[in-house]
Amino acid sequence: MLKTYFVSNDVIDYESAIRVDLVGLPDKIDPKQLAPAEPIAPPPKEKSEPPPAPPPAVEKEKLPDKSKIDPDSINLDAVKKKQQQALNKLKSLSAIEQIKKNLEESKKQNEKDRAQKAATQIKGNILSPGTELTGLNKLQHENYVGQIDRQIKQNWSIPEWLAKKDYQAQVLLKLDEKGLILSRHIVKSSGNANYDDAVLETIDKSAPYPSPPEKLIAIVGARGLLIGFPE
Amino acid sequence: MKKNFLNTTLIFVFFAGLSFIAKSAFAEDSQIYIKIGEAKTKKSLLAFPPFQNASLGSANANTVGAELFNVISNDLSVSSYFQFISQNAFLEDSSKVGLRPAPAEPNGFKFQSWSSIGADFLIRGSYSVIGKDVELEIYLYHVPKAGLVFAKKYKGTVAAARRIAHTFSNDVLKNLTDKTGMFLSRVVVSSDRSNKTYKEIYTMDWDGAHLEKVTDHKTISLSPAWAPDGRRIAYTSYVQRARTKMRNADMFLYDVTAGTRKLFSYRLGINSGASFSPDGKFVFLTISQGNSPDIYKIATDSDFVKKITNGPNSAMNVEPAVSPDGKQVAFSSDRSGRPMIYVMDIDGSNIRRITFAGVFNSSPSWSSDGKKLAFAGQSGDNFDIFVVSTDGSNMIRLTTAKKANGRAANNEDPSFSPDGRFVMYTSNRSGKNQIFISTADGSEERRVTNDSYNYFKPKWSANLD
Repeated sequence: MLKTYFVSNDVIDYESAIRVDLVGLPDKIDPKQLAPAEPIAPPPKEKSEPPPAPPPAVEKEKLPDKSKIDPDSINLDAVKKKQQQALNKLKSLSAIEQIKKNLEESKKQNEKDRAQKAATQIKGNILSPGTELTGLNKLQHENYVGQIDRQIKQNWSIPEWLAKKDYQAQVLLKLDEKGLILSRHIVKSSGNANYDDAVLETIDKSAPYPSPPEKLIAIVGARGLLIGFPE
Repeated sequence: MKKNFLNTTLIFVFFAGLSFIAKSAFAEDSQIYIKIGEAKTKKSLLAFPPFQNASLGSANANTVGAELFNVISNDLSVSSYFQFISQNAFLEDSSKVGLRPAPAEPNGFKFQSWSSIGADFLIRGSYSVIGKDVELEIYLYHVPKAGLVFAKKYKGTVAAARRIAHTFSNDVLKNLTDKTGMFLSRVVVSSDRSNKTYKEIYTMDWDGAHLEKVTDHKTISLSPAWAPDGRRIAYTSYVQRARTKMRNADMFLYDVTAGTRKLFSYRLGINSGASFSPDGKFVFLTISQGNSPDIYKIATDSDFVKKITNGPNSAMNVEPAVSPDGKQVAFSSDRSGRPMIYVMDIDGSNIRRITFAGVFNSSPSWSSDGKKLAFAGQSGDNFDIFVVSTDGSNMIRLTTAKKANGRAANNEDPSFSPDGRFVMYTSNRSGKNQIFISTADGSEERRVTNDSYNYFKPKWSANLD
């Protein structure tokens, strides 16, 4: 005997059982305090503290300008201290290096004399002031670039109506031996004139820059610094 | 999201030249490359002097002019892009100099007067009221560049003055950001304005103006929703049925232009929580039919009905919200024990749980780009508004308000603005359920309604022309 079973064609959806512990919903964080993170000087001990409670604003509208804490200002002392330490270290290293240099100087001079005698007929092969970037030179270089980076970062701001658009621009900046701007121009445009303007304005506002270390004067003046906003 | 790059990256490109003293030095070619990272953002300083009145002795001209000025002020302030420069700081009397800059215009204004007080933008305008018509001639200047951003003349009836002002505000945002603002949008909401024991459906501009009553059923009407074109409104009402005299949570469709309504879904039990598909042809809603509530899809112009969710284990599935691309539905369900936010494909398949935090999460609303969901979440004794990415990451809290007695207020029923930059919701922080908006990142919050009535489940429309 044949029986027919009718099965409801309602689809029953199953979900694999997963254990979920009860989690609290997140606290409110003022987005203005989050951005942009300052990577150079990590905040001293703020991480353990709860995020500041935003004002309750009962009945009242919040006014546009909230007191916001400038992340740079908080850590200024720490940054300065760090900079000073680095500078001192650099100075002592520099002294040692100088002694080595002096020792080598005479030896080098002899070689140079000999070389120049041999090279007098070859054009365009002029020895630039030492630019090998190792040891102290590299440290100096990184320190200098770090200073420029910080100086620009402090002034790097755009209007809110340009934010969250993923614009990118690159600037070629050339500086003289005193750190004054020789030239600056956009080498890669964001495609938005306002954004490009904000970038150039930031470059101008950040001047004067620290004078480049001797070994970098030629590079910074001739080749220039390529600077990406944001990268 | 882009991250700040740690420090700087140096790229050295060395190549040895014809050096014959290669031992001590390379002829060297290097490029120093610095990545600065994400910018800080700032508001632009806006100078907005009063409009000139170019009317020839019209009695109500000043009122109309003030309305134009106030609406634009409020719009641009809400936009969160501008900080207004106090009129006390102005160096120029804008009632005495022209709308265009000198020297091109002999009696024109001077950019110098505005750049010296730090203005980024300057708005100059004049209006004239002739009979029932108003004309607004208005200019937006970029002060540092001494350039015109745009200039327009807007004409309309005096009754449309607010729309003229909102249109200009939208144009400002469109010119600066390439994205139209939300200033011409409206809100549909349930309220007890007309009688404490009833709730009726109302529409109003997003800023609370132009209130219009949609229903007069003299009962509880709730959970309204816009069709995407703003021409129809679905809502639920306990209207007494003519024959049986019984009351049921039936769903109606109201035609805004014709002012007509029809009974849309009237199965026994709940017919509520409407959400239109982007093409306006289907309504997703919750139907209980005496059992646990589930989500159904019903065509607005045919007999098509389909059950989209099913349990499991008689779990409730409610509050559908169709995504802007029409491919997904967000909803809330207690299938895991506590009500949480889920997203499924439009046909009910591929159900993903979005929220795991808190004890009660409800009423999801999509951002216009489909990347975020706003919802009301309870972790303690009260509800607050949260925004989360549709993959469940980046959950942020928008509200923290307290009532006058120090207890946490309830903030409920969020709805994203058409431009995705704001979220509207109700809050009882003042003692009454009033309408508030917040920027989608929670940075600025404002009160929209300011009266002694209660409002429930506001829904934000698209821009309506």
